[in-house]
Amino acid sequence: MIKKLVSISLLLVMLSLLGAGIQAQDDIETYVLGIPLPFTGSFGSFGQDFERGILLAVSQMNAELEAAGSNIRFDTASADTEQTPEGAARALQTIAQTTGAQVVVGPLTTDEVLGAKQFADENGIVIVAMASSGPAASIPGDNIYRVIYPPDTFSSKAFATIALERGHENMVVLHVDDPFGNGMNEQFIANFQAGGGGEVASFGYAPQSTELSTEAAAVSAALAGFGDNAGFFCVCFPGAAQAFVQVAQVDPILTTVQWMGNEAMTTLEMLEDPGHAQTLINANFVTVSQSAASTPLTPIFNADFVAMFDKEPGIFTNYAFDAANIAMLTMLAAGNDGAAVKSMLPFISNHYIGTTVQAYLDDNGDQAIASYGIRKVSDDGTAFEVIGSYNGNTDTITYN
Amino acid sequence: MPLLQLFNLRKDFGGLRAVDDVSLEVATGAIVGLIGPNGSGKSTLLNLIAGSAERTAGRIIFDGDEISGLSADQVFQRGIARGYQDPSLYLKMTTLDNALLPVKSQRGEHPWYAPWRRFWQKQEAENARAAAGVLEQVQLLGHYDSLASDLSGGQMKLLEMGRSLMGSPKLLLLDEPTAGVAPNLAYEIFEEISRLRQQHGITFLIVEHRLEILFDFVDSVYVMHLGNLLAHGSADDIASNETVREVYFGD
Amino acid sequence: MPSSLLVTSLVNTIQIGSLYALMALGLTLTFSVIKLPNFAHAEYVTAGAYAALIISLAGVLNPLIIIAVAFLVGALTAVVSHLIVFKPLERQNVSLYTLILASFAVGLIIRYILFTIADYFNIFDLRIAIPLQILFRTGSLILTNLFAWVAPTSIVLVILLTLLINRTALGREMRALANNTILARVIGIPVERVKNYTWLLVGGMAGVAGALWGLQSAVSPLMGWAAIISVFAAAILGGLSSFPGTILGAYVVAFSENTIMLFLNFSYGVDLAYKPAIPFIIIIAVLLIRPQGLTQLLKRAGELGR
Repeated sequence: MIKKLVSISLLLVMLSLLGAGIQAQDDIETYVLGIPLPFTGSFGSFGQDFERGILLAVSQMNAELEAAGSNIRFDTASADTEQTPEGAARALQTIAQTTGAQVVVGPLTTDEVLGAKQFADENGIVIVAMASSGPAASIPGDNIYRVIYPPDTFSSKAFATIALERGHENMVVLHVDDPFGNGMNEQFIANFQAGGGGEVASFGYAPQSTELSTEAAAVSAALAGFGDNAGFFCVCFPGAAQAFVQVAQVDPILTTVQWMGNEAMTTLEMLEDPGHAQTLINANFVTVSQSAASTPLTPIFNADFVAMFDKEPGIFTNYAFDAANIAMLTMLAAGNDGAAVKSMLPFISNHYIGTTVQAYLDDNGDQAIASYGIRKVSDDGTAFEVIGSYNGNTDTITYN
Repeated sequence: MPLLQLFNLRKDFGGLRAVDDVSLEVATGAIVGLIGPNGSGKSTLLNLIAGSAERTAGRIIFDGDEISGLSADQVFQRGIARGYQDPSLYLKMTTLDNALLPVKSQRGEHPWYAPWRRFWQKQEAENARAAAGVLEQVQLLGHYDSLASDLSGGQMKLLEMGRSLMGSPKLLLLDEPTAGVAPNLAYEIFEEISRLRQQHGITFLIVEHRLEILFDFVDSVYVMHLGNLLAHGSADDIASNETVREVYFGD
Repeated sequence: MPSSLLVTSLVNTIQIGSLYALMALGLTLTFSVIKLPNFAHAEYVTAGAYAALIISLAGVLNPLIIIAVAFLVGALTAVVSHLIVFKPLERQNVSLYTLILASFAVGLIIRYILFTIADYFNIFDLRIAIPLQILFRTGSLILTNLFAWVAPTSIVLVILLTLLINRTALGREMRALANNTILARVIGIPVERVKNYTWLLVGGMAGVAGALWGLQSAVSPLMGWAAIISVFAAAILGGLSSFPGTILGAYVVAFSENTIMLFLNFSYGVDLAYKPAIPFIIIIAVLLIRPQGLTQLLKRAGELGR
């Protein structure tokens, strides 16, 4: 009996070795694309949606490669960044050490990207970030490429231009206290005052905050101190933005001034509470956003995504899809080697048109084409609708 | 039939045998003394009976049921209460609270009744009345609202005994009830014990060093030495027993 | 500091302080009766909040029913974590450090279960959407029905819990356990049952706090964890044993995080992002200067409930 078992197991082992041998004969080469994204935390749903966008790009690419008889295939390896810089560094390390990946698509926020930067630079790993936009990560010569979404130098200027156009003399800013929020705040103040604006009062909130009544009280008091012609600018992540609007909707001052806000706070969840939607409508809320941009490939991407995952892609998901394609195309041209990918990526992305806009990288490895939509809450309070556009390269606003 | 029977009870602490094959009986309604030099295993024996120490071997039969292996609160529910040499009271609770703690099956113990006063008010009043009766018996009624820490040593002993009564015990295990108590009060404590036996039919097993008082009240006495039972008999027998005198009084 | 800001911040202090008190009393109870500084306490709050959110999304908008469901789910989570983890560990007589680590682990497990649920239904950062009504309005302050629910409900529950501890048989037995568990067993207090009931109350209170938190802010899987340090600060101010001390501590922490923080911001430009540091500063200061907390200020100090 034991003999039988032993011989069967031996047979199985031999078969599996044989299988490996057959595969080896086929000579398929696998390139690994790392996916360090926040899969937990308040950005967890973003991270999971972005991952789906990347998996769609990879499966389409593999199908094309197989049809063309190529011996190269792409595989992915995901790790959770936990939405913190330390977590991002850990995630990158895990991916690199377990799979040897040379290129990663992600992480999400500027905070996380900067957290992962040191490990990437030291180990020659190329970071292709899809949605990070904080000016703090605009660094020439490093391993970070931000291929689609332009840095906030443009959008902060757009917000300053809108504030001035609205006739605000003074502004109050509430921003998340991280590289993204601080950068946005500083550049907004600089642009606003350069354009003739007056004083700006800024309040930072701690990134993990889930309750913002103290902050709302401070913002409200500062607005009251400025008197008429003061405006409010919110640079918040979605969860904190929800908590803030929850308090602000019953604030006597905040309900009487005009608001602007960053793109990340304009999620559909924000409008699920009719009170929140009405607050934003009353406040004449506008945002400057990239996600409104589209190309002829956008509807095709949407259809493919629905076919594969049986759900609509979320906001920015096509950015992840485009970033993954740029990364894979560069790897096909340069090989599975970080240094080669780093050198060739600007050339490839400058010749790429995907589902968003054309990519054109500046000396920092950041998207240089800045064409935004201006959006507000629709009158029925169910969606954000485009009311105009902002050209970052010429600093001009056009309303529809 | 005896109220309490021990069969070959044994307790080892590591290599040390604190109680070695002790078998004894306590008759219903009796006052039984347990004496012996320090370290002879008396307190350990009480702990084994009360369920606060786990036996190594042997059986404990109480009121016809085997209770070996039950936890302390289960043993208490069967009707055995234990007193301590140093009064173990809740010093930061009032005298009345201390007396009310052991009362069995109070409705206010349940979180679904506790918020509604009318579900337990009547029962609580009855319990308080019973507690007042017990406190009066041990002459502490005037101190019902004092913190236990404000009582004198003797009063603490009496409160401890009163608290034991609140659980309507059949058997009281007392560990040196007169330790640290003034001589006149010590005699009073034993008179109280005697009265409790008469009025409530409570059985007592008492560890005591003041033999002159103990011998006036007991029906029989067990003598322990080095974990073993050395002798058993009436107070007079024990007082005149040569072996006992040797190990106990050293002469 | 302008008077309108002062008034708003004091209103926030009352609201947040009441919620902290509700959570911190539970922590104090677990610490004194069960002898466990329970870091999983945060997750009972979150569990209650998600229970409340889910039934509110299902169309139940009666705050009383929402609060009752949150109580039940919070209580269930706490009792289950006791029966599955803490009770077996206590049986094995493990050290306090082991228990603390276990409480961290239990917390993590519950948190990630909640993450999974939130992810499945895609319910992040949502509010328990009871329709908003304005009850009172001046130029600088608006009070809504949410304030009328959150603060009074917490205060009523805090008072009820205090009465329960000081006036009922269950409370008497919990106080006894807090002082001496071994003696409690010897004098016939059903120790295991009292512990189960303690967990039930503690979890229920935490669950209600979560629901109320979700009424005034938003529900996310991290909300309890984000509040736990403030809650611990409140309990430590109470010396981890005294009820009035803990309640006072809760309002002191909320006052520091709101009024004092805003004052520092307004007068000295201290960034609001330092707010999360306040409870840490309080904890360290209390442990260094006054480890017994605020208890000694009160008569009959040191006993649970007093």
